Amino acid sequence: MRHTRRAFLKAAAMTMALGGCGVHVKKPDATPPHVTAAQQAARRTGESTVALVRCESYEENIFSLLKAHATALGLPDFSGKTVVIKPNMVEFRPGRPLVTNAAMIKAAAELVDYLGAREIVIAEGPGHFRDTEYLLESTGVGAMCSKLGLPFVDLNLDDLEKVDNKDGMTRMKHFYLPRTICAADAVVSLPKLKTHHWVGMTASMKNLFGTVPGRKYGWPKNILHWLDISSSIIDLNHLIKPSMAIVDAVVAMEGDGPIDGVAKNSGFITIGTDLAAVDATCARAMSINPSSLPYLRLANEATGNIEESQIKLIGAPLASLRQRFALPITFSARHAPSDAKLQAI
Amino acid sequence: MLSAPHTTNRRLASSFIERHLADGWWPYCVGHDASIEATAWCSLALLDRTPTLQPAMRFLRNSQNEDGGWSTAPGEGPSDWSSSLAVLALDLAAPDGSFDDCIRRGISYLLDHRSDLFDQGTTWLISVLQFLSSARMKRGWSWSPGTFHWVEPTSYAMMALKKARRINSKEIDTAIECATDLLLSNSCDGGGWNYGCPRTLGKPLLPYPVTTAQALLALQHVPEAPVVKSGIQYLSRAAFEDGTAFCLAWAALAMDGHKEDISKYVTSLVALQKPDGSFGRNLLSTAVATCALAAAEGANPLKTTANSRGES
Repeated sequence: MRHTRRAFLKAAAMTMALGGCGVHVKKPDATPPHVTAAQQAARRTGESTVALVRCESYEENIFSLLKAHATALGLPDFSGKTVVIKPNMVEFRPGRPLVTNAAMIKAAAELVDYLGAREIVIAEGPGHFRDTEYLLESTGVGAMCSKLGLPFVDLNLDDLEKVDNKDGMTRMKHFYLPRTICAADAVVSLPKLKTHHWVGMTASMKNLFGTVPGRKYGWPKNILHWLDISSSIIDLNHLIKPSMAIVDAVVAMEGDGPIDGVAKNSGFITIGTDLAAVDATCARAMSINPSSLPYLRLANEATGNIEESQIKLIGAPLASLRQRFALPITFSARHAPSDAKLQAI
Repeated sequence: MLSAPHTTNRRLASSFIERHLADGWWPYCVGHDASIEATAWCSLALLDRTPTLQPAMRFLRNSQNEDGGWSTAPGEGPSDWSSSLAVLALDLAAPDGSFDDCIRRGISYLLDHRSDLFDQGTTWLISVLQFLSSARMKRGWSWSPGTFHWVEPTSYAMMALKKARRINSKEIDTAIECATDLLLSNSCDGGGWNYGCPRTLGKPLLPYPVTTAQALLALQHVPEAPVVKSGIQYLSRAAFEDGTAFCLAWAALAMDGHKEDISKYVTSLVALQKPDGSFGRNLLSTAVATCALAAAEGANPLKTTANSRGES
């Protein structure tokens, strides 16, 4: 009798643990994101200008290609300022385009210097890998920083500043952000363009996840996913207010990104001061309808422009660069029908 | 026995760490604010220099939050994963019992703050059913309160609880057993551990050497488990493919914990030491490396013995 009762209790415990019997398993925050009046008031107004820059190879003089559009883009004056350039160094896999190419860091640093920066810092908080030294060596970013004489800051281990998020979309009343980011006069988002199996695409706005310090939020920074990824993207962009974005799409990633996808020779770089517009342009170049990405729909309300009519494109024609990217296979399964699957354009 | 050059290396590294002791604490990087993780690791690295450690132990005691845990940056936010390292450091650096009250409160915090998989009511109900049936649920520790369990914070908590020799608690045993089940079931295909997600969307993910070393250290009490053996095989190769001081140091500690020969790890590690005695990019790397050099002398601070409590 005792044995039978124990077996029953054990089975009941295991069944409940496996999510049966209607138990309440913790799930990511499913509260629909709500754009507040404060966020709408902070939204950029007016038309945005984005440059699509053809670039077939990392051997090209990328700085010159970007500089040619500086005036038309209205790039910021960084005179006397400390500028942090934030690349993507999430992980390293030989032969896979996971991270921002070191040549892009050189070009971005040269551009920021051209725009008058007094001090330039390269900074990143890799999301999966604690051994930042290995990432610096294997990606070539460390060697490039040494060559340029630029410091690299591991944002995961940086000193912390508490930043109020009371007007945020997530339920986080505040974030702890790295002091290097908070103290910077300007932040430049320098991502690698990739498909993403939870978000659809990762570009300049999602790149800011790497500013959230691992010493506080862990490796990976799973809390940002639990808070709702789209809302987290918007909150971080509002808090950090990046001055501009330069997206490395010379070799991008398609398929099951952001880690397990494959290389796509896209042959372009996108640059602009409105990160929503930059990302929307990247989406179009990938043959993805930006409005089918939840974070960009939110960005259109809370940060900047994603509609074609509100974005002035300069540089290479979009049609000449657009390619159909293989999409993440399960992206559509994670969203309600009203959020739509990734829509091809 | 250690050959003379390695002893010198350890002495140099220890001196570097000692020079950068601030007001009872260490930062991650010289010139920065206090870090509980860096303070704990630097303390572990200086276990043979106990007078130096007294200010650090007092700092850890004074940084303890009301709930018994610690925050990664003292005074900034709620208690978190760094609590395990604080408990470990206090336990090893103060074997005379002078900080036992602090340690007990820290252990209570760890036992009360395992990962949150379900809402409170369901968790309570499952706990009752488990108690009545002697069943176990795989459960570890998270990075921050109210979030999911991962390999690294789980490994730290297991190491800390196993070293809690003076506290005899069935609750500790159960927590270690649940965490052991979690780690044993969470390894990557082919061996090793990454941050705690062996598969995503049905596809296998790759392991990482540092998290593999951490899991192996936590699983010293189950050396015959197949995933432990495959983890050791993976790490023996991957540590040199990574090749940084941080990685080699972790590998040396883990391999030593499983009674493997660590001479090749230590040889590669000392080749990376800088003239000032430091390793890698920050004090954390130097501290872990110093502990690895101590392991080469038979003084691995993370080594436990046969049973899950770390008792001989």
